[in-house]
Amino acid sequence: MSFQDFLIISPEIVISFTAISVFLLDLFINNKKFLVNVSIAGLLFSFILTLGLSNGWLIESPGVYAFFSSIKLDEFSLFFKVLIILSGVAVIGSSGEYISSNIESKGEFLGLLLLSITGMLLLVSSVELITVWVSLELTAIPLVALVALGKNDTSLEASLKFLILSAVSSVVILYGLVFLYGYSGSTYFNDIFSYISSTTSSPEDLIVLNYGLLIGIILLVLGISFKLAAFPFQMWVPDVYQGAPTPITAYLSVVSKAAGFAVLLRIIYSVLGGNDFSVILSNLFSIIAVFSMTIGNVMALRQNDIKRLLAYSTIAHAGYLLIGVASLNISGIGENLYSGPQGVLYYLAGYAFTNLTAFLLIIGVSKSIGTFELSGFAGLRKKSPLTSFVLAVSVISLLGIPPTVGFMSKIFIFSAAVNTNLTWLAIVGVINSVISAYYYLRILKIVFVDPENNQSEIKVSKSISLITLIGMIGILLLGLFPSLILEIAEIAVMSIVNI
Amino acid sequence: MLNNYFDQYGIIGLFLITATLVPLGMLLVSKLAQYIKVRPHNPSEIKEGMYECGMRVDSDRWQGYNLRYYYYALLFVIFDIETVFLFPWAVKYGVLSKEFGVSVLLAMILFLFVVTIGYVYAWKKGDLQWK
Repeated sequence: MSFQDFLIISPEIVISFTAISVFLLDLFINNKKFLVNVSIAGLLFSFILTLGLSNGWLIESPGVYAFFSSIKLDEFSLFFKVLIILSGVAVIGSSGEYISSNIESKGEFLGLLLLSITGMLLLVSSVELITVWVSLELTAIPLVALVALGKNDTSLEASLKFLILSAVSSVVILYGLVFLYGYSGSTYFNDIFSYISSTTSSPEDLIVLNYGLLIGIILLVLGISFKLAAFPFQMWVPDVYQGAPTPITAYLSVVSKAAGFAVLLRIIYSVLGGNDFSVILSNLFSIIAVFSMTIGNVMALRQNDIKRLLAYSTIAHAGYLLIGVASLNISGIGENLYSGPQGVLYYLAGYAFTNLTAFLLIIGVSKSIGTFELSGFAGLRKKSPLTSFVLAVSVISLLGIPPTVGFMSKIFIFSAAVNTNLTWLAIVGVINSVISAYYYLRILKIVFVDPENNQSEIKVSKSISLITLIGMIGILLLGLFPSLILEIAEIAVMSIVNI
Repeated sequence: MLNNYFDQYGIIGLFLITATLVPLGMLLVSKLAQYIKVRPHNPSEIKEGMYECGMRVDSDRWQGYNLRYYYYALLFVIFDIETVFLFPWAVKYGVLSKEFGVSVLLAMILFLFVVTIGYVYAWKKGDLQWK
């Protein structure tokens, strides 16, 4: 261990110390607004440190290992660190008003959220099985408590469901890790990769000799699908999203999903590289993708609660994202070898802007109208034109209509699928997009066409207005100039590929 | 190698079968002994009670426990875990500090600092008061 090791995880150290100070300050300070400011200051400081790590101010260049090579700082982890920290800033920054009126344990809310962010930052940079598992637990356990912090009974019920399912998925992941370790003899991604490469004489041999490894990887993928809110573990999503405090719902739907995809991509490209396991895995991901998209979109059709509706929509989006994961270019033919994962990274960045904007607006609006029912949003256009415009942009982006980022990301994902001979999967994706148009357009119809049914005045707090405006600008900007993210995403993907 | 691997499960399977058959056999023998008048059959209230000795049971198992017990139990566990970590660290301190220097000491001080904050938190929240 050297000083550089600590520099590499300095963003995590800063955030975890901020969390501890928030817990302590909460005991002695009555002004809870100050705690929000402390949390944001900590996040911004760690954001500056992350930028410093990527620009070579603190270390020479990305691509270095730390703590006995269990943590790797590369462009991939930096991409996700920036995404996670900025989403965290957006969630905490806009939830100040929500916390002061709806949450009793204010210090715990902020501190636990910061601890969960720390876990995600560690998760995206870990390249060793035990580190992966410990950071997964660090992200999940604070979230269980956070879901329970709402004041009502549904919140407790949601938390219990989340606890049990997250424990089950953790066990499945752990069992997968045991198989990986048992058959390869190492917990390091690089060692497992070289073990798999060294036993490759023919494709048949690879799978017959290593079917233990295959079981391990399949278990791992199924367990991680809990984090992604994808098919085998999607049952918790609607209940938990509805019961949890709305900022936590936003956090779960964006940050938790991004971290899950990060660890999934790293396992595929760093552990497996480009060998014949990938063929089987590609089929597995295709199946999960088809089921997630279809279940999410069909179930969303009949929802009347906007949080439940967006919950099913995130399941569907996990399905679209998994199309990009399934598009493994094994044969190595074509212009852009890694367009699949590159599209996933771009999609995740755009999805963060889109979904955070939608959820944060819902926090602001539902505080005024006092309900999450869709009918409560009727006539929003007359009451607050700007709010309904921003909501419309984010919904259009979720649906995937140009000139928003949702459209461009679907193009990249579907074209990656076509390039890797998965045309059928792209077609299923397009059909699902059409199904999803029904319930997304229904939101717009209620907001813009339906007559208003209550006289409540819409007052959205300044912080939410500011952050959602930034989000809307981001949606349009990334949609018009996708190369802003795509180039970074390409470098990021190249940094995790083992050949 | 794999055949050997699954053979190991055979031993567990044998154990399972034995563990099922022996108690079943004992119950069966005892039941048969009743028919040939070796075992008398006079049930009474005390014999059918939950425990054969000790105090008489006067309520069901399902009753509320005071939540405060758990606060104390959790706080106890914190210090228990602290000792579990401190003990091997103290035993191997000389070896570790030769290799890693002062950072070994700093790591433990950091750990104790975090644990103490947890204790202060519980104290200040009033979890140590029996109210």
